[in-house]
Amino acid sequence: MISTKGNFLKMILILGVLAFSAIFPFFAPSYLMELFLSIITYVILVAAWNILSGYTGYLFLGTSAFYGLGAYILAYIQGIGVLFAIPIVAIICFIIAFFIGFPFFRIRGVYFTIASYALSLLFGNLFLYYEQVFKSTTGRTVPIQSSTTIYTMFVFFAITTLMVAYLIKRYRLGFGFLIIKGNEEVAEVIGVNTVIYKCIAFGISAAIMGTVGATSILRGGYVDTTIAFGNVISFNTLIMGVLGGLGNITGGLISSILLSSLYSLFGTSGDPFTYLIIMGLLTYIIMLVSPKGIGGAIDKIRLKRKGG
Amino acid sequence: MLDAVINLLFNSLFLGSIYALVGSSLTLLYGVASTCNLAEGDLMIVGSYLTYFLFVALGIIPLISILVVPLLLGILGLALYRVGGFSTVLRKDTTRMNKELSMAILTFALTLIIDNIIAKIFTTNYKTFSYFTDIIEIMGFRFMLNKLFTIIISLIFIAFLLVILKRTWFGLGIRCVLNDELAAGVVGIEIDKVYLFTFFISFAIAGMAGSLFSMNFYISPYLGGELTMIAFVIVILGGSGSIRGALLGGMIFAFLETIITFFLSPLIRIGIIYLVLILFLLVKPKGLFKGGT
Repeated sequence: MISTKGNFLKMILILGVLAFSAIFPFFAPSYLMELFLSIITYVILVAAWNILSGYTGYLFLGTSAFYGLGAYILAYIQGIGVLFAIPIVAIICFIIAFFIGFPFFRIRGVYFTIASYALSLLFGNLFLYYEQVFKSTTGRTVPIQSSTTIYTMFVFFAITTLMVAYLIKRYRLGFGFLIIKGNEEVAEVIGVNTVIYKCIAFGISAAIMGTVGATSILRGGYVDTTIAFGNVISFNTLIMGVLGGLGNITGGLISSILLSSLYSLFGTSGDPFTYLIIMGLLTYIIMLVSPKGIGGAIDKIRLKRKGG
Repeated sequence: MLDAVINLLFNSLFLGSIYALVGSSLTLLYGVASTCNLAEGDLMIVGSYLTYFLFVALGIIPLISILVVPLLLGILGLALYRVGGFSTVLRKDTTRMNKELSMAILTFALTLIIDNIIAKIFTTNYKTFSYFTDIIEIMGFRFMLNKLFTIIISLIFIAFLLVILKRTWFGLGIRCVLNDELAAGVVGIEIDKVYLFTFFISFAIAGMAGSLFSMNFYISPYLGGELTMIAFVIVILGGSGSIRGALLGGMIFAFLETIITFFLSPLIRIGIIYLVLILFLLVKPKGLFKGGT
């Protein structure tokens, strides 16, 4: 099915990327390092988003809900040691998302998108209210980690996430998601437990998002609700995921690298408006011209080559 | 005591009348043209800034703007439908679910474009102007004139909308498409024209709501998201496609919001909005008043 030559090239490419990323921190100037960290954050987020939205077809606009949840959980349990806390954050996020999923996935279509957006705003508001009224604080500090540590963690997470995403697609779970995306009634009929499947997708996705959130705040050493629950995280993830092509991991990888480097170069400067206008226009146009995104376009070219 | 009660009721009536406008704009577009307009609040903010600009730069009073701005927004709706590619998406031969998702992404992209163009032109600072800010006394109770004006204009506009929907040929066409698009096509209703008209009306109502909003509140480019969410809560309360539902939903919601802000804290207000939204989606996803306009 897959030609060995292609596999060999792929292996070399992957090994090359791995070798490069192993030596990258030794020579990279700090500016490049920061850029790389911002890019890889979105690479992981988009891959995680794809596990939920791309595979099952439920458009999720609440990435920042779990990003922020992860960040705050880390801030609360930092006493047990930062590196030990991160797996716990992932587990807690998984459990919370899994149980939220039961009622949440009764909502379908656009309403799910709205509800997920509301979820992130709700979490943000609850944390803000709790912190201000009961703790009289606006933010919390965590011990800053060196950028090499964070780099190592992020590279590890990125590889794990991409592998998980690829593996899910190849196995039983992924086929279940595919049928759910196609037609949920049919999925029920042929014996896929749609509720459990969707909750698992949600849980995995949320656990990764929470991990990214928790790791990200170790970069700056500070968390408050505007940083952790910023809409821009949800928006960026959704746009990158959609532009990459729903459920297309390669497309998502390409679009997240492209758009997040654009975002880090222009979106965080004094005038982020132009960048955001361009992002909006790009999404609008790609949605009209090629609704399957970058990944869809690549697949089309590939098919043409094989045919001719 | 009585003073406070009257004040609370008046405030919720005032908020409710604006919410009812946004809600009916959203509900109409969603019911008729399966477009979940994620840019609803942002269009409203466009209306606000247009009113602000017309008043501050050109000296056109809001009394005139509330007629001009809806017209301009309506034309924007027509342009987006005809030239902006909405028609190609909506007339495509796929399931309603697919259309809804495509339109959601398109309108979401629109929010980014709109918000940031406004932010680029007017900066993100809060803007306001004063017009109709006198206080008038009715039966010993004092009311803000601009709030009273807002209530009256919105209610008149909603009544006007209901008359269009119930009493005219256009309205009949819209109601037919709302009930059964396929059957409406079979009996010879031009669905394309109905969509076009619905886009015009929906965008015009959003403009009207924005115009009235700017007379009462500080405006800033990024207020749109919250207003969109509120509009969705109202549509979910009222049921899609129902103007009466939007009116009632808007009033109920405004009442809740005023009470919560008054008795609890403004901080938890937004949290409760989203809680109500999520709970309602879970318990009664079809809304309180499904069916009919």
